[in-house]
Amino acid sequence: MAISQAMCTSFKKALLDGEMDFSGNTGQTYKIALYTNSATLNATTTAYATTNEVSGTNYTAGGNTLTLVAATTSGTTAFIDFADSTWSTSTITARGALIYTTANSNAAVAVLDFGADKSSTAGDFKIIFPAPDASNAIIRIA
Amino acid sequence: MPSSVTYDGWGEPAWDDGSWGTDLTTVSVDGIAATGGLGSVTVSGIANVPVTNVSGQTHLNTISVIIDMPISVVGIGATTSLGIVRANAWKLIDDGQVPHWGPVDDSQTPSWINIST
Repeated sequence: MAISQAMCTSFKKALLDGEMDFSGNTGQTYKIALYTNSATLNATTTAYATTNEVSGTNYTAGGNTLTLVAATTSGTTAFIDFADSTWSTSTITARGALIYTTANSNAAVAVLDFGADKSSTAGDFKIIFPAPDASNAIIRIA
Repeated sequence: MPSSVTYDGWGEPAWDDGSWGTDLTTVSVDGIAATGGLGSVTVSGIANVPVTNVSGQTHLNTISVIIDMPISVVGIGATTSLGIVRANAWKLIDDGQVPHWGPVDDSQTPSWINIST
């Protein structure tokens, strides 16, 4: 049982197959789901699953819908960004997260490892995405 | 590494961050990079010969060169033989003289030899 941060291998293939759309106008819906430390998530994860997904106050299975910031480039690197996501007034304990698309049978994009359990108690649980640049953006292709 | 901050109490988070009077837990996550790789390609050198209009592949076969050499004929030497010419030393006897004969001088040394048979 472990969560290892990774860009899912199936996501890389899906990119090549044209099954992922991050464009601003016809982009797919991307979501972020939270998982407990009992989950096994890594590069081999292929799709969203409810197993060991967080449950708690103001957390809905499937997680939050992400607001996509259209893909852009800097130098030779292309990257995308998401707006920070918050579960308001929630009581949650999470060890990691899965970003996935609701298309293609909830295909996985990336696994996020929080490094330790993070909790909120009747408070806001906020995921802060890194700066959208060539060196830090959440998903980069260099 | 991801980092997190938990704000407990009233108004602890930054201005406009979180709700007034609500605790806030923030989780800052790291980005994930995928490095695109280009594999090596093998290029087979196919020589395209630009041709105008008609293209044709020519092939040079092996040729045999036959040289007709004129034969120089060396002159054939022919040895000629000349026969032996015998000259008879004689003269006409003047039969007008008187006598027109003479006796054989039998005192002379015979200038003849017997022929072997």
